[in-house]
Amino acid sequence: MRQILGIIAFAFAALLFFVESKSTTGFRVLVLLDEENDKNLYTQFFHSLEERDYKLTYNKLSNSVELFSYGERDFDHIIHFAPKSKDKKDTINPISLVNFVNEGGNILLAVSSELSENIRNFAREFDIEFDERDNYVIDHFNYDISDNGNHTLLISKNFVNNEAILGKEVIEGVPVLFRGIGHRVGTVSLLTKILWANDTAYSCDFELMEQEPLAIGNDVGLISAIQARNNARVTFVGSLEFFSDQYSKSGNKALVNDLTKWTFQEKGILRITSRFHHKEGEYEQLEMYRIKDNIIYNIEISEYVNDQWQAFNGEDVQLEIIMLDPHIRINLTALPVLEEHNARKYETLVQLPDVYGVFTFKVNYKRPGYTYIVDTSTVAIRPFKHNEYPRFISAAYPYYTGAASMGVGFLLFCFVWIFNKDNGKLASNKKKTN
Amino acid sequence: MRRSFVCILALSWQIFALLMCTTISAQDSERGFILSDLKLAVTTSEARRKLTESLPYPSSLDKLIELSQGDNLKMIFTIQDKATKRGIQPHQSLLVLSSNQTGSQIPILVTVRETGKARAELNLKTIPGNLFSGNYSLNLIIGTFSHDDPINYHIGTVKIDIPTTYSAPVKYGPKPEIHHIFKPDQKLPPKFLSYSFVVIVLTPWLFLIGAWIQLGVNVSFLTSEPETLPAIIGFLGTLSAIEILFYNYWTHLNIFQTLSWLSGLSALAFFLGQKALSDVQEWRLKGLR
Repeated sequence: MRQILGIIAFAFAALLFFVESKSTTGFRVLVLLDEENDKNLYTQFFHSLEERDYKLTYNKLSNSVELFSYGERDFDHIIHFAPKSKDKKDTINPISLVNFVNEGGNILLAVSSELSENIRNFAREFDIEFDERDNYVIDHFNYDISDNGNHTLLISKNFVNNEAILGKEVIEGVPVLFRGIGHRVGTVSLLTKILWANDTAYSCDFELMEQEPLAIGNDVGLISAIQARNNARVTFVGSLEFFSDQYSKSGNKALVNDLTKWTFQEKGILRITSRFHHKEGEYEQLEMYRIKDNIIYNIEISEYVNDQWQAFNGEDVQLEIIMLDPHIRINLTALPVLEEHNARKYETLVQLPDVYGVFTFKVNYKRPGYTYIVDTSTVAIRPFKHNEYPRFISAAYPYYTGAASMGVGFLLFCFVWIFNKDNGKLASNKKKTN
Repeated sequence: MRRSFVCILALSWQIFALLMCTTISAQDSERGFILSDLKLAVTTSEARRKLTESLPYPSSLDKLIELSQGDNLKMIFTIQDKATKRGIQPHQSLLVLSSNQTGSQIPILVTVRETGKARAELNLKTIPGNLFSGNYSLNLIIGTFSHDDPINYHIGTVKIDIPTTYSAPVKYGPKPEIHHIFKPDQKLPPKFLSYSFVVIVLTPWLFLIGAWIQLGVNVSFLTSEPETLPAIIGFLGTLSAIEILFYNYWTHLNIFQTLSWLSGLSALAFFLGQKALSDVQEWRLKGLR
């Protein structure tokens, strides 16, 4: 009976693993819509997600839905396509969404120019300021012909040059079409602008301009993303139409594909597979080293690419040796990958500082687009023992000589004292008589 | 019957739309802006004119426009519709300062009246938060929905000299390496000094040997009393062994090893020493010494 249960559990686990295989964090997606029928506008988009083994749950935003049960997330990702809802009493509100992100959930948020204050407040939590309601990004220089005199259907090719987020085909590929609202991106280092407008664009409504726009030119963000410190990802897209079947053309389709892959933790994922440090010439990881010891430190990192773990290609991994402040920061050398090995080894030979105390070996790898990885190991660094100092230094030669001469002198004196036949008495007597 | 009617209606509508399109595009080719009477002035905080220029569109100013704190840059021009030759209020009329360093863009609103008279002003009495010292290129961008040929007019380069300087926001990336500076090894005195002191330390030997020679030191008992030799030589041998032990203690033995060796050797030295010194005493009692 037990065996059968075990087999069933194993089969279930294998099934679960198979289903989960595309994203590294989970497959449960909650889709929030303003109206139930809206899902018919994005059929191709949703279909592409279902093809990648995501389980989509559609929900009208005004309908109550719980994001957590017993303190656990019920969903791994949220697709938020409901910018209109203004109701403060909705179960999905800025606070619950921020909680969701704090618990490691990912959000893909798309808005239109009819966005509510709720959404703007949520975005502000991440230092992103959406423009006022009913404003559009307008560009009289770069717009698509199919746009009837509105000059709001922008053509943009200003992609972030970061292959962790966007594939090479997208970055070097065709421009995308975008109609929607612009935003300003703050200076928080967790934020990344993914797509922005051309230099001649501005964000405004259709009335005569009376004050300077929120943002102009390349400051107008079209798509931006944040990766929180817990590696949860939130992507802000200023256009709902961007995901609609109508715009699901080559450029847009590829960008949307990469965006969802990145947001739902299928791309730009790193993990540490092993870490090891030892003295040069020895092969045991110690908890205590001596000051000025030469040690070898290595760490292995792999990256999740195309649904499997591969060796990471980064070249800029650094090791810090820290006691309050980093005493040493050194670049690790990326070693060539062995065949069939799904991680790359980074290694360095480093001489420990001549300061003793409790130190931390820290690899703190934070790069835009990639999972933040931090690995620490604590070691004690001790001073020299009394017998580890240099011996026979030249300044001490007189002392050594003194001691040796004393020893030899003592032996010689003993020898002479014992075997000497004293004739001196005669001599001294002679002196007296004289 | 009804369907064919609808069909014809649709067709005629399409032809009409097509005609409309062509007429519109024909008009569009003439629909542009006329930009004229562009004047530029910079006054300092003491109301002194620093620079006045009038520029014919589309030539740009070769000179640097220098602005420092308190300066006021004013620009006026007239904008007209090419087709109607009348004033127009375009939707986008912005002066844009684009930083040559950082690429950030700062908009300055151009107010256009219905007559087409436009004016813009950049007052550096209060400095906008995103403006820093450095070179900026000054562009005038004019565009509107009804016109298909917007203007992006490079007016010149502005050199802004204000106390606030740009500091790049912190971005994740590799940090500069830190190399630990080791304390230098303790400095040793020059070798010749050590050697000369070695010589000085050895000088007492001269006195000792000199004194012994003068006193007539001899080792006569070594040969004259051979029966006592083994005990005495043994005693001196254990003394030498103890000294060699001390040497070994200095180089590599620890205190416990040393003590265990020493306990054996000292016991031996005690017995042999007693025997040896008794012999020496006997010599004295015999009157040999």
